[in-house]
Amino acid sequence: MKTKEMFRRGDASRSALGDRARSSPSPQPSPSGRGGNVRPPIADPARNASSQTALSFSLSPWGRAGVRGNGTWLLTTLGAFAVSLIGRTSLAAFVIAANLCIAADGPLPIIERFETFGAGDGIPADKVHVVFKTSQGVLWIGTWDGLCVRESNGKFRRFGPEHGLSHKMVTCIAEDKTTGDLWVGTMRGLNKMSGGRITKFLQTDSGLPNNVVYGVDVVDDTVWAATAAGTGAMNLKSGTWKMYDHNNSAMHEPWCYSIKGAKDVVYIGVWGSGILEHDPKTGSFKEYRDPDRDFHYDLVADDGPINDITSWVAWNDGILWQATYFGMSRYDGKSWKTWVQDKTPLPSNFTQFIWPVGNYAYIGHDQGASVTDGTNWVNYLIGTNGQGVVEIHRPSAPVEKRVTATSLANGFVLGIWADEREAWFATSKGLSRGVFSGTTRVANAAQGKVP
Amino acid sequence: MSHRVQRSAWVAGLLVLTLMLIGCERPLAPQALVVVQTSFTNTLPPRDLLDLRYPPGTRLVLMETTNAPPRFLSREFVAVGEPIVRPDGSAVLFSGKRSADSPWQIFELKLPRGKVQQLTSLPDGASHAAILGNGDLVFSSPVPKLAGTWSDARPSALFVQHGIEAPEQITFGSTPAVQPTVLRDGRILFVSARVTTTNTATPRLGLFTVNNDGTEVTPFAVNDDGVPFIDSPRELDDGRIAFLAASNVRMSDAWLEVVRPARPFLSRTNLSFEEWLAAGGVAPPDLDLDWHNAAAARIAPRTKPAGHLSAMVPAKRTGTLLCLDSTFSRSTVTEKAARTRRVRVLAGANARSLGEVAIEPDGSFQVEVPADTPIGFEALDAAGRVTVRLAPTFWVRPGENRSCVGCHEAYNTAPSNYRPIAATKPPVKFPVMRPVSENDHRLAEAHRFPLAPALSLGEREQLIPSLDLPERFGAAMRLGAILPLPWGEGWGEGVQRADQIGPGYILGRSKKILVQRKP
Amino acid sequence: MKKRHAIGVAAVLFMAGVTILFGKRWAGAHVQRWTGRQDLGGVTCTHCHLQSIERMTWAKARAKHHSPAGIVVSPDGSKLFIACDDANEVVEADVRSLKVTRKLPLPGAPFGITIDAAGARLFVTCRASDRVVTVSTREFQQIDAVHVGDAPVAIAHTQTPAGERLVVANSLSDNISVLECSPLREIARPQGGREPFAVATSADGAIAFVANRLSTSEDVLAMPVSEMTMIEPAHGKLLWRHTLESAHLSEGIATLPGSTWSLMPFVKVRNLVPITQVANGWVMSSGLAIADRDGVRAELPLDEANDFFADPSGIVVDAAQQRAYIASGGGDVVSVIDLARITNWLAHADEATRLGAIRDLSLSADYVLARIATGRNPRQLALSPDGKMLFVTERLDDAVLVVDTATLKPAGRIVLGDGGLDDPIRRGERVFTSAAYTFQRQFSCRSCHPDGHVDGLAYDFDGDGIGDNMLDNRTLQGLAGTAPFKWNGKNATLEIQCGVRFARVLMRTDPIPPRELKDLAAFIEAQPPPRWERKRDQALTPPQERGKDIFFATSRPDGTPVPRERRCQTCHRPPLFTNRLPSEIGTRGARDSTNYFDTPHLLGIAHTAPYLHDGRAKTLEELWTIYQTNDLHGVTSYMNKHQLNDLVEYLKTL
Repeated sequence: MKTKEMFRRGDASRSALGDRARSSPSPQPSPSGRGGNVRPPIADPARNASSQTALSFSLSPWGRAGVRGNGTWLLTTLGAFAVSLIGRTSLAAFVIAANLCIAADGPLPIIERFETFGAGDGIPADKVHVVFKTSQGVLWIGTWDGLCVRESNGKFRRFGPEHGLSHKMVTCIAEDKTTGDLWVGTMRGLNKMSGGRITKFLQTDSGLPNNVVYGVDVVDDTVWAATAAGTGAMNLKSGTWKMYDHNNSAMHEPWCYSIKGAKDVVYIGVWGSGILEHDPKTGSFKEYRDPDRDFHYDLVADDGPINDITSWVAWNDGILWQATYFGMSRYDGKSWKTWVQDKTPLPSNFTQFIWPVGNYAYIGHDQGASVTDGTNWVNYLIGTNGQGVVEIHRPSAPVEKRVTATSLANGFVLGIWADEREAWFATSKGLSRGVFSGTTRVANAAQGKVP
Repeated sequence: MSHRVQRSAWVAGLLVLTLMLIGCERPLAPQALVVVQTSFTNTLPPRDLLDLRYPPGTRLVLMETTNAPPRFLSREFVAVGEPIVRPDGSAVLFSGKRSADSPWQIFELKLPRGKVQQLTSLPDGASHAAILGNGDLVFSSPVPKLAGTWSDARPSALFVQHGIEAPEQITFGSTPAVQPTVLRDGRILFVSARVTTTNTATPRLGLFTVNNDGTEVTPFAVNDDGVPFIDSPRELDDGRIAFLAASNVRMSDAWLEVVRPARPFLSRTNLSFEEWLAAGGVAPPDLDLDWHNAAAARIAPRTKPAGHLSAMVPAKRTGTLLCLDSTFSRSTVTEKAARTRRVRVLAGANARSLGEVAIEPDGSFQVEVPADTPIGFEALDAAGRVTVRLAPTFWVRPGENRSCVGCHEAYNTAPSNYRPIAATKPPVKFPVMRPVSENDHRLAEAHRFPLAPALSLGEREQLIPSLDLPERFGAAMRLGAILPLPWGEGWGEGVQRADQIGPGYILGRSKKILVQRKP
Repeated sequence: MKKRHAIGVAAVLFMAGVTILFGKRWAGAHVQRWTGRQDLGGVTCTHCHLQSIERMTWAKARAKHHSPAGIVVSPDGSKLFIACDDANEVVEADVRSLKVTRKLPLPGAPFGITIDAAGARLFVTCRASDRVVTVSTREFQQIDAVHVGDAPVAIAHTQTPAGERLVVANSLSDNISVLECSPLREIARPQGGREPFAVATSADGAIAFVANRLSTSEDVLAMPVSEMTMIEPAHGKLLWRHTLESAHLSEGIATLPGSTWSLMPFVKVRNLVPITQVANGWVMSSGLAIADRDGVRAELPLDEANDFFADPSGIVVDAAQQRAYIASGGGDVVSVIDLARITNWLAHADEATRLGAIRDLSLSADYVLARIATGRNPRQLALSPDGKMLFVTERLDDAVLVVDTATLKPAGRIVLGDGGLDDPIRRGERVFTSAAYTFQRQFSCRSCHPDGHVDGLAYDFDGDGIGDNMLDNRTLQGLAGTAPFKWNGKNATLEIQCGVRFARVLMRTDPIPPRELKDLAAFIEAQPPPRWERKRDQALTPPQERGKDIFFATSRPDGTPVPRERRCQTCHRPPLFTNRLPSEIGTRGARDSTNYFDTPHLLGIAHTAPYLHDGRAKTLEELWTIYQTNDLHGVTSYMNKHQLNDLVEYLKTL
């Protein structure tokens, strides 16, 4: 317990201090970084959200039982989560055009330029937590102040609590591809956006384990929700809930930060408990933990998950990806591969989101975004003066650095959606769209209709 | 022992005799009619409206078929009128007077034997009998004075009487409630006048409905959408409501009109005599020319009106009224009503103020007001000015809960479904007033339309035979009407110079005219 | 000898007296010990003991009738196919001779029925077995079947670019099954509103419109809304879920060929307005909703200012004649609507007028062409392909009425059964579904209790004052043996509740006559809780088993005993899960006049939301998360989320 508390302090400091240190070129350091103060500024809405969350949690009897009195553990964790939502402004400097491809199993897309969307486009808040494009091509974003859909005119239409959303602070989005329903996690409850109507699921009126929903995914007839007090699974046909936490699974802590359906199994990213592989058919759990059990350092590379403090987990095409605040990992079913800053092209250990496409993946961290196939890397960073910096890492080749006129809206990337044609980035200071080289397409306006 | 046998034999004999007598009674023909016929030999001046319509000498006749000899049923009466038949066809009720000086009362004549029973004995008389679904009697009292059918200081009210028990007053408006008829849905339809704040010489008559316990008084039809004077409403077999309409209080140009219950306020149309007959009207056959048919009713079972189980609480002296939105108002006063901030509650025929109540943000208010008293409202704006006024005209019965959509709510409008704020709080209570007194009625004159011109009759009557009257009069007469004759239209040869002749009245279907010769 | 005899008698009398005296004392103490109350009088052993499900009327076998449910006409117009759910049969009738030609026994309560474009296959929903069955019209044999959602009641067949599709309304699981036809296969099950009950598809197969029977609301005093669900039949994706305010009992829907319209009869309910009067539709009135792909465009009244046509159900549209026919199950009439006049009216009305038109009861005189009188409880309609004949199911006459649409007069009847007038339950159902007992025939018992169940709404009866004691509508299913009735337990018998009481506070007319009242009570007592036989035979899952342990727990997990009067099983005593006594569970509202409310039975509780006497709890979870006070409604403060979820899962099995 003592170790954990020490870690928590360390982690929180790291998230803030690191934020300042690694972003030192930035003319105006983030307020949250000043003096390494682990507490976000009073005015920071993210902190408000975290305190709201703590309040709603402390009101729930089973929540208390669920964490066995670890209220401070929760508060600090959510504080760190809140801090992680803070970003900075960036400015474009000048333009150069590039059209690059690098060797891999398949070419890694190179983003030629970024388009930025903000208040002028109808986005109600700086902080965009999640971006998601449906199978019908409709673009949704979850912000600090509501859920938004991109209309046919290119503007974003907002849905907030006044439209039935359980809370304004949207954390995650998933699609039920069968029905086209959208599942939206918030800081207070899970929501189903279905045919223009929103249905709420709260811990007080349903089987949802906890109102703080960090991750959501739909697998066959089941919607899975990763919450601050366990993982819940609702059968969409029967409405029956199942719930897994440290009381009835291999979970060592109840903080589930992400969830991803894979082939026959579900992966649960648990803060402090690595990754859980759950087989819904047998009800069995298999855990993937950091073998060296060291919170701060990856003592042995490629020996398993890089850390038990999982901030995100992703799966695609047989490859499992793990993001932590101490580096990232990949598991192909046979062997693990880990990356940390300084020793690898990974610009920052503070990774918080991964979006796989084919055999490569986009990574969102506190320095910008990266894309890698495990061998080659392209990092999208923000230069001293706010210009875009593209780092291309090839095996046994010098790092190629290029400066671009446009950059990510902010270096603190919280969410990514990408396919072979485009990439969208949710940042702490607006939404960015990456336009790949070799194309001049702008975002398709016809993508805007609500399902 | 033998004595017991003897007594038993007597009882058995009497029983058999009774059964034989009952068995001997011949049932009436299906098309039998009871007809009120008036003779023209009477010379007494009428004292009230019924005297005028059914002068002394009027008789009640049972006509089984056109050819069968009539049976005279009212030999002991000086005058009879307004016959109606019980829904089961078992008896005829009518207004009658046994002596020239006695007031009109309601009598029941059992069929087919003709035994007569007096049902009412009110000092001011009773008229316009109707029968509720449970067999109770509805009537109007007092009988309107000839000079002031619509302007009596003490307006006629409706009463309900169970058997021969004391009647209970069920209407408490400040204008007369007369000519009740019971609709098949159980409501009592009657003619009344709307209270007006403007000085007009014409009463604004309309058809209203009320439950059999006096609750839920509601406008039904004919309100400011046609000529003002209406008379003798009847529900036809097809559900339409027929009545007589006229442009003046003398009903001198009366004709038949009808409204559809599906759209009572917007479907007012003329009704031809043929339509009226086809829809269930009654057409008595002609008799000899010395008598004319003033009214008739078919003796046959008909659909029994539905009942209404009263929700009143007789022990209470108040009722509750919930207004959903006092800022809502139909048509002309909408803008004014929207400015409403408070509502002043008026009570009694003299429109005395009981106090004021602030309306809720949604325009609703709930008040507990005295029962059986005319109630009205004044909507006040922020400055206390009256924006909309509803003079005391409706009432609540003891324990009645009553609601309205808004001030001057649109007719036949259902409310929107929302929870009025006033319904989430207890009602604002106002003190219970003393019962309405004669003094109230006198004070009420200020709020009622000016007196209508009185009908004055001459000393003698003269019968002018054989006039060629328009059919509309004939149709009207079959509803039991007596129509003032419009002079100056130059009808017939028998009509004398107008300066020698007073008002005239067309009486009955025999197309004869009764005139009063000036002295 | 005589002396000894007298002593013996005296001894027996003495012992009997002692036994009665002490027995009574013991019984009183027993009741006080278990309820913790001193003020209970008239409690008998049967409040908590000697009850058995088998003795309940609804658990006993009852007479079956050939009540027609769904009907469909063959594409060539020669045959009429009728689903008879009570008799478990699908019937084929010849339209020309009006005679029944073939019968197919089909277990599982066949209810909804449709036919393919070629007339070769019938598709039937089996409401009790949750199946859709394909029947060959040539052999009149079942050829395929598939499981769908719970209690499928309506089905529509359509051709889409992706192939033939069936759209099925699952009334009990609140979702819609989209099926491929051959073989039958469910490809999607999108969510609907509460109780999807009717389906219609657009002519091009692009959209399926689903009418949902019940409404829901966020709060007991908030405007309830029902839903018109639109899905894409090809893949089962949800397109739109349009809402209708204060609408319920939507049991029919039709599309208008050549137009984007869908037409849905519904009941405009006014549960939030105190029931101070019934006149002018203050409780509810019938309407017709007109919707297109973008939402509800107009709500028009079907009633008249002084006459009402309760419980609108089935609807069919004759595009050629621009007419719609709508069955009024409570009024025993079919209303004929002139769609051309409605189109004209809509063209001149602004949006506010169109949506507010439902309040103007005199408007229907503009577009209602006729009211055709029918037999008892007309529910579903079908038109011959040439539009010359209208078929009307007279559900409680066991017949199908044939109407000549040229004269709008009856042209004959297809007789399926004898009407079952010797069966008091069937006679009672006639009373239950008829609006003849309410003022101006405004509504029937069924208007608030579809299938004897709930409408999910709370009402403000004004008998005890305006605004006081708002009451949630309670189900009539499984009511037998649970007297007294009503939340305040005022009504000792159903005859009092449904007779004088309702005549006074709701129907505003004469009480239902005694003989019919007796039949009505027989019908109500024959209403079983939903799916009780299936639930009875179903094994509990582990979470349900854990929930059962919690329900019957006498102590907390830490061993602390739960006081007798706070144990679930004390008040919700099996087998009916009620002790039929008033209980105080800390739910008295500001305008309630008592702390004590009748203890409801829990049979079928999963389907009776909302909960508590005023319907303040939307879900079972809320009973203990939001509306629990000081552990008065069972001791639950020790529970974690696992335990609460388990308890709820168990309650759903009752």
